[in-house]
Amino acid sequence: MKNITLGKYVPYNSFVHRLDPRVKIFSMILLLVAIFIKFTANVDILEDGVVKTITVDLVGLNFAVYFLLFIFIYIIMRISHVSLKMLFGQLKAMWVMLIFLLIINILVPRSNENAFYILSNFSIDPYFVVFKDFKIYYSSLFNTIYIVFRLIIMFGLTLVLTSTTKPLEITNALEWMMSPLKVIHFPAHEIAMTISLALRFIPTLLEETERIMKAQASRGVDFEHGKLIEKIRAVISLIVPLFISAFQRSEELANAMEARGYNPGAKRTKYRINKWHLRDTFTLLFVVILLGGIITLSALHIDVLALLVNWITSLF
Amino acid sequence: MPIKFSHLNYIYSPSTPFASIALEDINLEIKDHSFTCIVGHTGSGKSTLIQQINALLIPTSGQVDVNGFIVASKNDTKTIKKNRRKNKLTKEELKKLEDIKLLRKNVGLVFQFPEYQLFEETVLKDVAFGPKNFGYKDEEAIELAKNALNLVGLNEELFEKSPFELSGGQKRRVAIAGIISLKPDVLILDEPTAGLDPQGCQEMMDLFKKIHQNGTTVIMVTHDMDNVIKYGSDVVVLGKGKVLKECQPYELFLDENMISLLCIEEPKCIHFAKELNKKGYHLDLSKIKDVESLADEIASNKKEISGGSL
Repeated sequence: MKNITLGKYVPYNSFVHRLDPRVKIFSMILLLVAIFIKFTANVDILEDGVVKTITVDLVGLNFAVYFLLFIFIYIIMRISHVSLKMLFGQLKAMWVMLIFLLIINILVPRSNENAFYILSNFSIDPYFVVFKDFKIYYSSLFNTIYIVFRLIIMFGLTLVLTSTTKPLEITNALEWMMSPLKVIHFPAHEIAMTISLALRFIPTLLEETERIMKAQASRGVDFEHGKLIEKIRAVISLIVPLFISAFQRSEELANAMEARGYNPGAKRTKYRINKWHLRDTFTLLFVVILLGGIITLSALHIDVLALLVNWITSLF
Repeated sequence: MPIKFSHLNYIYSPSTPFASIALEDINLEIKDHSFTCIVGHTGSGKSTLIQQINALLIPTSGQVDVNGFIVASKNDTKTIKKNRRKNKLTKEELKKLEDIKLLRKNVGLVFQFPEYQLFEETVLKDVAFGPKNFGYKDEEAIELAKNALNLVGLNEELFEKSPFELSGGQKRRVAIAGIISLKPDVLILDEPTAGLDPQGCQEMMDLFKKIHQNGTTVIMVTHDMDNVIKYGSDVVVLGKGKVLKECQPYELFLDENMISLLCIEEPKCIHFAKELNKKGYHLDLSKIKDVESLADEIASNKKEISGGSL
């Protein structure tokens, strides 16, 4: 249970650790946007004697950009002491969902409209036949591979954020970001407090879970083997005590907070004040430029990769 | 069932930045039918040590031998198995080597604040939960549960109540009954009296004494030195994951170094006896367990003195 790396802060003193949490969150959001941008081009084709414009996927360019983004994020991971092992450990935790998602995605048929270009002068049948009427569309296949790439990059990004930023810093940053909404009486502070309390109690609850599991294991409960009914019984013997202690804990916490005069509406000062450094400006600027570049590239609807390849081949 | 620790090491979350050594080269034998108290500072590895005995934690290296049940890391178990084949041991013994469930039936572990593990609708059902898991039929399990509840001194009218309606002390009795109902050969208790009122403490300890007298080996983690001297037959002192001392209870309180190292307060009866000895008495500290035995010792000492002088 203690091996769960999900969202666990790892104390190192790297460049990423020292960055302002607000910059880290902003950058993460911007990079998340960047990985969801797809590169397409408009192509005229002749269909039944009529010229028709269709949008095609620039597969080569998409992969090239994913690859570059992955390299970029891998470098960030290295800087912030996050290993690939940790990343794949997280993916492993949800492999059932992943495989289900990927299979469904592969089997979804797509229309001709979503044609694709690997390079602009390259085109093939839109699908291949596995047997008889069972076809798999290339565009479905490529879309599935995109999803894999996106997931890996997304996990990498969130992992970097959570393992380099203390939960408290994250909530402080979130509160800061939500503070403009206070004008319309949005309870920014309360939400931030709720999040930080929730985050604070994840390790405690994990510990509690481990303790109860052990206690029940010494009463003969087997959490790993056994039939389905036995497993359900085992889980019940874990969940009931866990809920009871969680409710008790929250009540005690609420009482303790009130006893110390906590009032959510009151104006509060901060113990830790985030200082904005030059490195924060540069990081944010860099990420904004990166995203801007990718958006521009996609808005141009040009297969840059094909142009690049053509240019290089024309040199020789 | 003697319990033997040999060259046992345990490391929490090895090969991560959080790695910490909890136990280091533990060599220890807990005697059959003893009442062994484990004392030591918070974080000295007491809880980690007792969890190895019923395989809730598996040693990083080294092993625990509980009367043929071997708790060791996977690789170590493999090598043991290989060697056992050489030694021509029976199939039964080989099977026993890996049967964690049977081990847990024989070694009952009561955690600190065990009342948090209650979950069934009624007290009786909750106590019968353990026996049912170990393969007893429903009627047998209920019978065992009733016996255990009688043993811990819970009224029959409470059997059908929800465990969550009971008081703290009663809840703890129910939880302990849940382990006792399995009739383990070894009963391990992690600070069983923490948070109980003095009378509840007394009753709880008398219960363990009774269980011990019925032939069960009792291992108890505790901070209460009065209980150590009164009930314990052996003491193991842990510090920073190592065994510092293994002795009889009164010997621990003769060791001034240990007393200052552990920052413990000697039991009042021992303290009193020591002061008397300084003033010329010749009390045998090994016989002093509580106020009563102290009084006996003083009385017999006085007879000796008066008998000698007259």
